[in-house]
Amino acid sequence: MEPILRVIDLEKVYPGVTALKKVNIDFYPGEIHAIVGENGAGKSTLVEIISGSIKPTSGKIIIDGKEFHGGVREALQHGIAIVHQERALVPSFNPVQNIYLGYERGRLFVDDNKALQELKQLMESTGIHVNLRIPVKKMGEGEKQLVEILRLLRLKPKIMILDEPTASLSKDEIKVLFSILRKSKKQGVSVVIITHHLEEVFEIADKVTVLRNGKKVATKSVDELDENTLISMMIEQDIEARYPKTNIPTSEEILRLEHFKTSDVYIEDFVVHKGEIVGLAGLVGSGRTEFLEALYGVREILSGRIYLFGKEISIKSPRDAIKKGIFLVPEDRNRKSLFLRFTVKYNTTISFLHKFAKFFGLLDIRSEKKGAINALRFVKFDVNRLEDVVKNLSGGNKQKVSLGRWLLEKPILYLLDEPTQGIDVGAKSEFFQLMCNIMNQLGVGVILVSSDLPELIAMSDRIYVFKNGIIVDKLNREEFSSERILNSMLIGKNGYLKKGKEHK
Amino acid sequence: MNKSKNSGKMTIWNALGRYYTFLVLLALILVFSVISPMFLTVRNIINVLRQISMLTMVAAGLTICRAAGELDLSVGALAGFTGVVVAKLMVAGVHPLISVLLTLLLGIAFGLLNGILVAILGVPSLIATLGTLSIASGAALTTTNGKAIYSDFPPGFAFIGEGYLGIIPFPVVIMAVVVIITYLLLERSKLGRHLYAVGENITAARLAGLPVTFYRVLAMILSSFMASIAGIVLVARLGSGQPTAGGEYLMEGLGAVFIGMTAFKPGQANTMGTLTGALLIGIIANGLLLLGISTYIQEIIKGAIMIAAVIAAVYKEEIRI
Repeated sequence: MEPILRVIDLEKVYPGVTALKKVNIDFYPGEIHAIVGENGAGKSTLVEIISGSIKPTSGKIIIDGKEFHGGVREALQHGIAIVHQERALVPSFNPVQNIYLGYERGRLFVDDNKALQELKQLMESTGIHVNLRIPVKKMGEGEKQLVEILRLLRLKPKIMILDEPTASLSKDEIKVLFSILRKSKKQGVSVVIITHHLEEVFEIADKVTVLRNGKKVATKSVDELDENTLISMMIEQDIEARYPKTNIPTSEEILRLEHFKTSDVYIEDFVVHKGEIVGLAGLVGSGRTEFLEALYGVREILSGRIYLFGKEISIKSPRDAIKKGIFLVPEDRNRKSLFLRFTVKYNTTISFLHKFAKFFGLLDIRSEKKGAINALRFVKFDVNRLEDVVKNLSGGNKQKVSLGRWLLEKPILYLLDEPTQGIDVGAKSEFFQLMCNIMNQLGVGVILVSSDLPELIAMSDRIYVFKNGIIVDKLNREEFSSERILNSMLIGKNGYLKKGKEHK
Repeated sequence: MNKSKNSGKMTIWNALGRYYTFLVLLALILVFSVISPMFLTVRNIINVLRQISMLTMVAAGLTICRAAGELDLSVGALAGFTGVVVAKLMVAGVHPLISVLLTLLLGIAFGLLNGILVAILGVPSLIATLGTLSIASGAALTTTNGKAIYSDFPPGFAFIGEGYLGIIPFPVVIMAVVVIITYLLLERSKLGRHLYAVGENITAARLAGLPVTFYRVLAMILSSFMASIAGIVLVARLGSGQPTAGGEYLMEGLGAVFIGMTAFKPGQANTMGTLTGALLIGIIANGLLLLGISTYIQEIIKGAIMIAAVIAAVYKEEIRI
């Protein structure tokens, strides 16, 4: 069979870094082709080039025997459509307006009704259902993703590209998506999918291409592979222990909560000891993030007592928390933690500038630099990159900066919210290695929120399961089992909140 | 993607990107001095500096405001209003020093109003200050009944506008002080770092433990405060309180800030950039005047040059408002 899409000697060079190096891949019709690799391996760059939004530095793309010279419109004319990793929707438009953007129905005036009818048919035939009447900005991430997938399907492309489509979808939604992909495949569509979830590769893909540092490692049929081989192809060194849990004796109590209540959560009692990682399991919206943010002073604490080393404290703002040595490493670091256009040094010292301020608040640049270097050494960040703009760093390095900020002062308790989200396998492992080092040396406690259950089980000393704003289950390390945790997360006894702000 | 740059080494293109606005300024100086022998004389240069002194004070305040992520459209009207107030106070027999202090206090109060609207009530600064612009210009017209206030101001006060320190006009001295303080504040102080943090990512700033609301209010206050200084100097210079004076400082001040965002620290409002922008505006006006080009056409050329300067930066995706 002839390939429908050929990528030949594709190269993309950015100032200072080569994102793709002489990549050759053939894609065939009626085939699902997964592309995997660590963050920064070049996956997104590759599909952005194929879909016409980035120009390659050199190399060729042949579609159906004809050379493709780039451009988003041209790609669409060639039958290539993509769901980008970053949302490409107009927030104030409803799904109909978004999906038909550029393809509006009607002659003189836009006829959204006609589009609506068409779209209803499409939803019927695909089994993907979204609310068509509300603007997409009011939708959750999962539903937005479904809108993008509908847009892709409506275009009836010959080559379908999906860049991490499952990241924000529920299990059921993923099932629907996969059945659609299988159907498209049967109709002869060539599907290209990027994913971080290797189990998905084995579930859906026929072939898989592994990229590493911008180079193609191999393209293989999925039947020839297993998960460990795939991982070892993705990363340079064989990671023996992906989760380097070290047993740190837990003794002294750091934090104790009694009847801790906010508008979203109610915690009867909660304890963290020195050198201990307390894992919080739960679905998105179960109150884990809200709990951390309340403890950090972002959300109002309505009642209850907080004891730090046995002394009662009050936390009304992040400032209060920081003064006590309680530091939050928030989820979604690009939005909640980092100042993307500023330098690594700037991002590292921003919370503790008073340490470097002399008369009139003027900063002692030299001691600031020293402080930043010391903190960043701790997290093994390359200190030669102190003046690099954070925007240009990889996910793992961004997370190091995000954590490094909290090493300028002595930490007591770290609140880690999805710390390994969007960073690759190697960097995940390194992150926890660093965390364990810090805990060993400084004797801090950690509250860890993670949706990655294997990670949570590997790293935690105890796990509390959240559901609807309360703790529905507590497990000690010897009791850990994914079945029990999942069970409690999904069907644990009824929570503090049923809907909205209805109090118990 | 890991698009790291070798920021340690500055390439020539990198440098050109950062300083081309500055180079344009130098080129203009060169061109004008070739065309007009009058241009590159000490007297003319001092003249230009005096011309732009008040504009630069307003623009310095706007730079701080912009660093914190806000815009302040009320500065021009406020300069007019505070000018009228200081004149009126002195006409009423209040000691000039007290008059100036009271007027500055009024400016601070006005900034506090802007700050409360923006940071506490959550009105977008563009809209809030459009409203207070109208309030300030209305207040200026009401206090004066729409007429200018002429009076012989005390010599001490007139010195602010007319005096010299050596050969340097006093408004230029005030401008220099304002620029130096703004520079130290934004570039070298904790406060400046925090203001930039709030402007870049307000959520991250809050979670980093910064008192975000305080800084936003402060940015609006400093902007109003510097506009008030400009308003006072303007009256001292004109020798009269004009209710509608100051209006042009908004447009030119914003122009200086935006041109400035193309230089030194591309994409960010910064003091040296703003000063470059103000100089550019001043030199264009002065050069065109020496060439005998009518002020009407000057306006067109000024607008075109500002757009051209910003296009380059926008093209490199460095400016976002």
